[in-house]
Amino acid sequence: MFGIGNKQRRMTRKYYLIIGCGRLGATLANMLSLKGKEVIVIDEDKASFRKLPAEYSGFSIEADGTDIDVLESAHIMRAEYIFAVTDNDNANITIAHIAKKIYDVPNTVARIYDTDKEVIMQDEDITTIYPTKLSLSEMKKLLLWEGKE
Amino acid sequence: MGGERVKIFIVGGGKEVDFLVQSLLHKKNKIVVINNREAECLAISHAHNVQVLCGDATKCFILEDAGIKEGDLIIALVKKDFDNFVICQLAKKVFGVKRTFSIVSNPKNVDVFKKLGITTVVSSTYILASVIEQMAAVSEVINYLPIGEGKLELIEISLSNFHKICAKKLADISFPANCIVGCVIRNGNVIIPHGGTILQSGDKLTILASVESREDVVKALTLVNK
Repeated sequence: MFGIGNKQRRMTRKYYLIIGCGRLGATLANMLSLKGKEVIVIDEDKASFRKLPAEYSGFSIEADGTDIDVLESAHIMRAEYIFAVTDNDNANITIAHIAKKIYDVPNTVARIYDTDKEVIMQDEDITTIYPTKLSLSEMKKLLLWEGKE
Repeated sequence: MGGERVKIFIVGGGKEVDFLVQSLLHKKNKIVVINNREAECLAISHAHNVQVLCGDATKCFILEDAGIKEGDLIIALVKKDFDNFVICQLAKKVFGVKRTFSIVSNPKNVDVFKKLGITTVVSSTYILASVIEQMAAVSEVINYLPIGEGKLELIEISLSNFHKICAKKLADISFPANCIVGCVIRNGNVIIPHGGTILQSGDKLTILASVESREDVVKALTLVNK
């Protein structure tokens, strides 16, 4: 039932899965599609796909990305990258864990706002991006320049 | 494992929580309830002598405020499967709670969540399905034959382990009025039963009942265990 990565499957991994078609998801999807990658975007609300520009040539699936049947129909067993970028931290955390620990997606990325949840993302070989941390480091850079003004 | 007090955290849930708290309190466990809806929190704290914390248990500071560090077991009953997952993971990885329990609405998540490290996972759909299966198994095995100018009915029922009357002495079963167990067919043999006859799974009972009491008879016969 679960796609276990065997040698052959790993060699033919080619899909880029994006769960959540918000601003980040839509931009990411389009960027990858322009680079010629095979992209599949999943979002529960089909209105969100309006964010995808006309030149987007990938797939879009209106479904619940936390449902493993949906993930399997989106070829998660052959995904090279998966981006869990819904607006819900808990959904992203769960999707990332499923992708990594059950389907062994080589590059599993999640966007998480709440930095307190860091502990459950550690040592899982999941790349986690915390917008709060990134914003803070950019702001720190600004503050260092202030003195030179 | 005798008599140790266990500290149990129950998160979310609706009416089930009331029942759970009652049955768990009975065993002298320490219970803390976390619920995100104020009205439910008030209802639970009025009905039971338990600590109730109103907040989102997927947030670390809420779990911390609830004193989860001394928790032995956390029971996650919120609506979304992925929220239950995060609650259990936080309890386990951040706060060291050893046993985690989650309900899931998608039955596929039973295996998924177990693989991801949740101790016990229960799907409400699975339970419902097995109850329905039980009921279907029970209702399939009744045949009716009207006799005596439409005033009487011959009811034939095949017993299985599901039936409450199985493994009971006939005299101990409270049959409704106006019915009599005419005969029992067991392994191809006809037994004319008496009070001391013990009913077994696989027995085919032939019951004579008045048409009016048919409903009561069927109800009494089809009582299932659990």
